[in-house]
Amino acid sequence: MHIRPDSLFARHAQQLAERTTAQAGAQSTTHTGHDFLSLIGSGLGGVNEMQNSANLQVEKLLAGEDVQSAEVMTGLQKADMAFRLLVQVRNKLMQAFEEINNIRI
Amino acid sequence: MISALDVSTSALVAQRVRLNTISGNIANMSTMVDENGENKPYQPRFVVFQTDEENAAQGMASVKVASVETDESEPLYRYQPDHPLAATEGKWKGYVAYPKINMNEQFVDALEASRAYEANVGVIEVTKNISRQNLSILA
Repeated sequence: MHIRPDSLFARHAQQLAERTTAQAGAQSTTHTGHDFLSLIGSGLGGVNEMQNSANLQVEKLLAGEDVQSAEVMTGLQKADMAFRLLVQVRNKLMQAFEEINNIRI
Repeated sequence: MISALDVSTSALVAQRVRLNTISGNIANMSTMVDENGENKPYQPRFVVFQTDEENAAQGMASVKVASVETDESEPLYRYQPDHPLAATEGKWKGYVAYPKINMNEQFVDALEASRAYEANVGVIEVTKNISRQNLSILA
């Protein structure tokens, strides 16, 4: 099974982009540093890269090329670890976002 | 955390090479002629491991195969004057040279390599568990 993280998070990223532009238009505030979008975006890029390279290794292994199976397994495991971490970070950030969203003004 | 996985994997790869040399030794335990067709018995091979300081900053040393060496010691001679490969002159006239491969040695070596492999897989398991536990701090 191969989950494509870009499609998994595409909805959130899009929603976020819409909200950010709406907010920016209303208040025209300039913020510096890491915003949520770039944080998740760069994380996604890294995880996607790891999964792609793990995929490539698995394909090589299955095609019977001369690759070390231990290295393939480690590559997969690393991609899995990175993905789990990303999902947890995303969950935490979404939790914080919901929390802020629920504040009544 | 991820480089710990790399260190264990380097050990897995190195032990794999060691097992490969042992399989080669056992496969060639009665090989009398080398690849050029010369009358030269197979000489057992063994690996030499070397530390790899790629991850030294985190206090870890990986392992890599420095070289695959050949055992240059004398072959085993058996007196078989009718054998087509028997020496026709010199000190070993009438003797046939057989590869000097000690099965017991090779099997003990193979056992050690496979136990080392198992141990490193165990370490990978521990590393995986620790990383899962770390994630549960956040969740």
